[in-house]
Amino acid sequence: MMTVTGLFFQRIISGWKYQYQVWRTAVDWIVALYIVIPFSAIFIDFYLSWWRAAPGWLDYIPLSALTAIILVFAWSGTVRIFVEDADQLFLLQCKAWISRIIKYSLGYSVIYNLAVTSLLLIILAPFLLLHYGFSFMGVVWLAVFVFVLKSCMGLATQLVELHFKGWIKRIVRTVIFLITGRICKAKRGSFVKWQGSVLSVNVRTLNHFQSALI
Amino acid sequence: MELLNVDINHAGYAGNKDVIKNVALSVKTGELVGLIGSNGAGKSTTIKAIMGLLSVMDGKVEFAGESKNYAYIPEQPVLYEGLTLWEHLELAAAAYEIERNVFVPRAEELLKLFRLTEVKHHLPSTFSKGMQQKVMLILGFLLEPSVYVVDEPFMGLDYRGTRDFLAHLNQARSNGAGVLMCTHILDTAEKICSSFVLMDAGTVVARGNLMEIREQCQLPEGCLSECFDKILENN
Repeated sequence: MMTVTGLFFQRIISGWKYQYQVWRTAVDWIVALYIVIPFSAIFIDFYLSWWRAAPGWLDYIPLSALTAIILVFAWSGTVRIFVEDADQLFLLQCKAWISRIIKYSLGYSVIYNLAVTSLLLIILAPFLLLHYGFSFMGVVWLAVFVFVLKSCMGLATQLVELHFKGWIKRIVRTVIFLITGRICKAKRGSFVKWQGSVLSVNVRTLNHFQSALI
Repeated sequence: MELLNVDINHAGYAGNKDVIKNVALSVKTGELVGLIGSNGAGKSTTIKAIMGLLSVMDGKVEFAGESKNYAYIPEQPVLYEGLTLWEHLELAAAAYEIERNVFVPRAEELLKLFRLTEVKHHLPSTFSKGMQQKVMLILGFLLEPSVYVVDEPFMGLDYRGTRDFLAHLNQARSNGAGVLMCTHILDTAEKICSSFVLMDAGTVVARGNLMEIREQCQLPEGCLSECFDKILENN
């Protein structure tokens, strides 16, 4: 018989299959052969060279540019809830199933955000370590900070979508964006302190988010 | 014995909070209550309010009976894109904790009744509207609830489908289930319903069995549609 876990994984696999099909429509074998593969190879070659010596053009890019990258990256985060329209009918009297699907979805989003944040920081690591003078632990803390901020932003964006409409939604989104910008402007030494407060907001948002959906 | 008791002060949507007002009805064991009215009278909104699907709802909905469970069969079939018909049935059985040894013969019997056995491993998203409606009916009957809430069930159903649906519904009623059926097809409603709740402009304008409705509109020999017209004129 079908279980909540089985149903959830079926939806994840179905979602990935859909993404793959969308990707396949944009990238056929010709595009892959002449654009994607050569550019990937060039990027890997550049990336390896950045580990040997920081590129000269970094002298023209201040550390504050990092703020913009982090802000855009955190803002692009979202929390995908694998609840479908038909659940409203099929699981109408089974709130426990809906609740578990939402919990699994939140867990999935956390793991996904962790993976993409790690990837971003791995790409930025040679610049941070060799050019901007970060220590290894500094990069690790920055990764944790960005991950928590991104997760928090994803939850906040979903909550705004649920609770607000029209121009009020736009105002609330702008306020959240400005607050995020303020958080991102925090100096490197303050990251741990900011991270604590963001984490605390995140936990509260998570609880509110679940109660709002169920 | 009352299986469903509804008393709605007002209900609606975020943009229009008073789509329906002062709607009260009840469904007893073995009863088929027809919730009837013209397009836009508030029938489907009432059903949604009963199902708890509206953002604005001031009122009380109580399901009684032994199991206190119900099946909702919507006007528009709502199905999962990626699940086969059999997987839909398995999901419903798992969610409502129907034992496998009960589920399989019951599901097979219903598939046979509605002539969908051959397509049970196909995706319902590829079915016709009528076939999708049959899937919704099978899912409703699979749960064997004490109350059936059915919204415009005849839309898209062929003659045989309608006949089989009504036969199975009568069997469920004889086993003690109650039915609330929303429809605007008055001829059929007059033949099959044991009592009626007439709605217009978001509120109840008349209720009772056909005799009582005839008395209310003073048309002793009138059919349901004539009584309904008279009541609307008087209002």
